[in-house]
Amino acid sequence: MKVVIVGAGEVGFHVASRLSHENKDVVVIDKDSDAIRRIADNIDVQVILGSGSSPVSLEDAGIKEAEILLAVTNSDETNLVACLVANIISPYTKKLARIRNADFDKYHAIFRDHAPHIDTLINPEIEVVKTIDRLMNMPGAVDVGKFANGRVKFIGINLEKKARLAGSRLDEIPALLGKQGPLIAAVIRDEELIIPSGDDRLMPGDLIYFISEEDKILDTLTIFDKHAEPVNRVLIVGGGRIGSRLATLLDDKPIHTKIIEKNPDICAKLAEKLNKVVVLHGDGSDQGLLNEENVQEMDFVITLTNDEEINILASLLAKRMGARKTITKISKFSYFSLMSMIGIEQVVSPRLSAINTILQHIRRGKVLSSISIKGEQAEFMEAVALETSELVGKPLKNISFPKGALVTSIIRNDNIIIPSGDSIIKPDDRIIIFATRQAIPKIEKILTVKLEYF
Amino acid sequence: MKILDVLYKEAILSDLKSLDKKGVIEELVIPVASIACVNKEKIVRVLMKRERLGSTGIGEGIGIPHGKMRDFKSLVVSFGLSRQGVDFESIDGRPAHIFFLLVTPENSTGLHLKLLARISRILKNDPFKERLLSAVDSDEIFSIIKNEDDEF
Repeated sequence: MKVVIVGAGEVGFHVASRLSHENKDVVVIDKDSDAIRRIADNIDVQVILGSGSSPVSLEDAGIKEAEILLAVTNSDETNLVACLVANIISPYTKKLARIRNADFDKYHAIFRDHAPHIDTLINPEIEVVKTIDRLMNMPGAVDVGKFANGRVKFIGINLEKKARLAGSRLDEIPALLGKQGPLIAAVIRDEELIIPSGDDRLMPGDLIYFISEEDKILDTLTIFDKHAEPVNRVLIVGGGRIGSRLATLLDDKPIHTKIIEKNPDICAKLAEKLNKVVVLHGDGSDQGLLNEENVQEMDFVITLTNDEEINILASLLAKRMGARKTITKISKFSYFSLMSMIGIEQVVSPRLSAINTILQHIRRGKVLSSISIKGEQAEFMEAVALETSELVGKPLKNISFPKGALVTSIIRNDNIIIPSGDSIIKPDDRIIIFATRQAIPKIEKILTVKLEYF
Repeated sequence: MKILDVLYKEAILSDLKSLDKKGVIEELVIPVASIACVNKEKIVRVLMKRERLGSTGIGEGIGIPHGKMRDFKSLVVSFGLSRQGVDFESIDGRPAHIFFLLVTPENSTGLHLKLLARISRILKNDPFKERLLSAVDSDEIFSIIKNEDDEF
């Protein structure tokens, strides 16, 4: 499968690197020679120096043979033109474009059904706001993803020292709780991914990933001694596109929200748009201002400026001054592993969410979503089990699953089943698979259909 | 069933030009679209979508792209030969030379499965395959398939 990527920025770089590991034929176009060199030096893919919206560069990249075009430059306009040109040269290439301007929100469907026929418009900022909303409503969660229209979620939590499950073996948990515990798919300990079996122990400091039905999440969280605390006060730092989307969302909720923005013009626009949210003009990393605005009484301080260093500092400062929780927007992937070390737990990244959306559309089989967990060592995939595929019609234990992969739930009609080795997947069931990066090519193969499938 | 009941002579392409999956499917769809009077783009999209669920490159140099479409009133087939071979993402990783393309109505009652089974069976027959591969034009291909049909 050939994929042409326009834009060698953080998203383009990461998608190219992931796909090259999955043996896909990738060409990256960018007009910035430094960005192109960084790709050429680090990843085994073809690179082209030139504008991604130019018909000549696209033809050089082999757009006519490409199955998928990804337009992920920093500019919405370049991405749109790249798709438009590709639509003319190669109408059957599937097109995915990142479009961030909220003015386009209403046009996603139109762009799909009419020229430039963009199959998927990705606006990672919408997704990030949803993630923030989910994190705020889930006590102690540091990572959340949803499947089956939100009926099933995966949640990542840090296990605290005093939690009652700290130190216990997985197979002891039912006895300790007096009931079946949640399905624990993975544990990250010292940055290492562990897929636990019955005799593995949960240790304090572990980042634990489990699957839960939506209506049982709060109960499940109490098992890990994470208790719901109401969210009454929120402070947003940064009134850019994401800050403004989040403020608009919170405006309709019974939450006292304040937003700090240092550009007076943006403040004026925000104040006009928002009803209840208090708009403050100032610097979110200014201790005096934070003090004045009673940061110590905030349930959440959410830092969303375009400068990630400021976000990190403002979050640390707010935490230190007594804010209960912080959520920090980070873009550079190399910072991720540092965050928990310096005490920043909840992190969101528009780029990571763009990558998740993109990968879902590139996978073989009918993959509905794929979400990487922190550190990107593994991912949860929701897929439809298709007739004739290897998955259906026989007990799970008879299917040759690659090491590091497991079926975590089966969704049949309205029922959610946590499978055992004897469970049999039926055609058109939806399944949620957890798989390490190494196992993904094999999982893709298991999801594909046989020749007889029409 | 006889293959030539659903494969018309004008849908036999003896020299496919494209060197990639998408291009080959486009070429093979042209006669199918005009026989069925259905928009070519729509058909290519359906077939490419099907390929994404799992490749129809079954190895041994053979590709049988296929799909279901509501706009079709009956089963339509096209045939193509690629002299150079095409990367069809086949199971054995080898280039594909012989192509049958099938598009069937959405409510088809299993006829398409019978045809698919028959095509994959006759292509296991090496002398038949060799004859096809060395055919020079669509007339010759037509008569090779006719011979096979007569034996059926």
